This record gives sequence, C-alpha cells and structure tokens, in this order.
Amino acid sequence: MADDAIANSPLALQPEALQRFLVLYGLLWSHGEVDHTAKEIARLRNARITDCGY
Amino acid sequence: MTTWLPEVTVAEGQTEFDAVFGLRPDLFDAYRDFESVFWTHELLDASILDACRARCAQVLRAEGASTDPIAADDPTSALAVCLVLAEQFVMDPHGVTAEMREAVVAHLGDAGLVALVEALAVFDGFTRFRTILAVEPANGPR
Repeated sequence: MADDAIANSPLALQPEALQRFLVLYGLLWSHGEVDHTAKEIARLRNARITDCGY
Repeated sequence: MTTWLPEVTVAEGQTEFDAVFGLRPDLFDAYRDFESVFWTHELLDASILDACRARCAQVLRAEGASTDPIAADDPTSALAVCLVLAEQFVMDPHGVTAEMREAVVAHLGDAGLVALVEALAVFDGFTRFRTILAVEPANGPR
C-alpha cells in the first residue's frame, strides 16, 4: 500500500473509510461482467468529461 | 417509479435498491460496508449526513426527493457550510472555493472535510445510479 496513490492521498485522514473504499474499488476493478478495457476507457472518459486533472 | 431492469424481483423486507444492486452481490456487500461507515463510525454528525444526502437528491431532481427546503437555521453552523459545499459539489466540483473548504475545516477539521467529500461522492453517485436505473428511493442501508 506504500506506493498506492489513493492510500497516500488525503483519504488516509479517514482510515476506516479508506479501508472499506479500497475493498470496494478493488472489487470493481478485479471482478464483474464488464471487461477491464471497457472499464478503463469509461474511467478515462469520465475524467475527461469532468475535467479531472488526476 | 419502478426499475425497468427485467431480472429484478424485490423480496419481502428488501428495498428495490437492495434488489437491483444485489444483482452484483459482491459489490453490494462491499458498498454497504463502505456507505455505512460514515454513520457506524460517526465520521460526521448524522444530521449533517442526512441533510446533505437529501440536498444532493434535490439538486439532482431525484425521484422522491423532498420538496421541503433543506437549510440550517444558523448560516454559520457546521450544517450550513456543509450544505453549501454539498450543493456546489453536485453542480460543479470545480466551483468549490477555498472559502467553502475552509468554512468546513473550521468546524470539522481536515479529516471532517475528507469525510464530507467522500460521503458526497457516495450520495451524488448513487443518486445518479438510482435515477439511471429507475430505482425507487430508499434511505440507505443503515
């Protein structure tokens, strides 16, 4: 977790929430009906539409 | 409003949200664990969480959103400054100013601001989830 950008973000100020978020986020990326490529494209598209610099 | 998803059957004691999200049971379990932590670990005052969730639903014109004004009596209170940030978060997060952030930090500290923004992400995202899938309103898994 030391190199994890999320775990090292301000989210770490709420460790109980961070721990549970990482479980949810990890499941979202590692399981499911939607293939990884489509998820990544959706993530990038979402970031572009919302003008997210991260 | 009832979801248009054809595979959803709402069992007794379940909400439609439970049934729809339950189509992905592993994700739903992890979601409930995450969403409930704001209340179970009292990351924020429950009255602030409930008011911000209701205000998000109003701003997003969600089915079942309260038509009553959601506001704090004291405009300098923690609830008031959280509601200001909540509204801006939903409308356009780039419009959240340093003043808005600092007002929340003055009441709740940096960790409180983080908890608020995380909670708003849940409320905003899953209000949109309900709208897109036409899921009947529910008051969360608490």
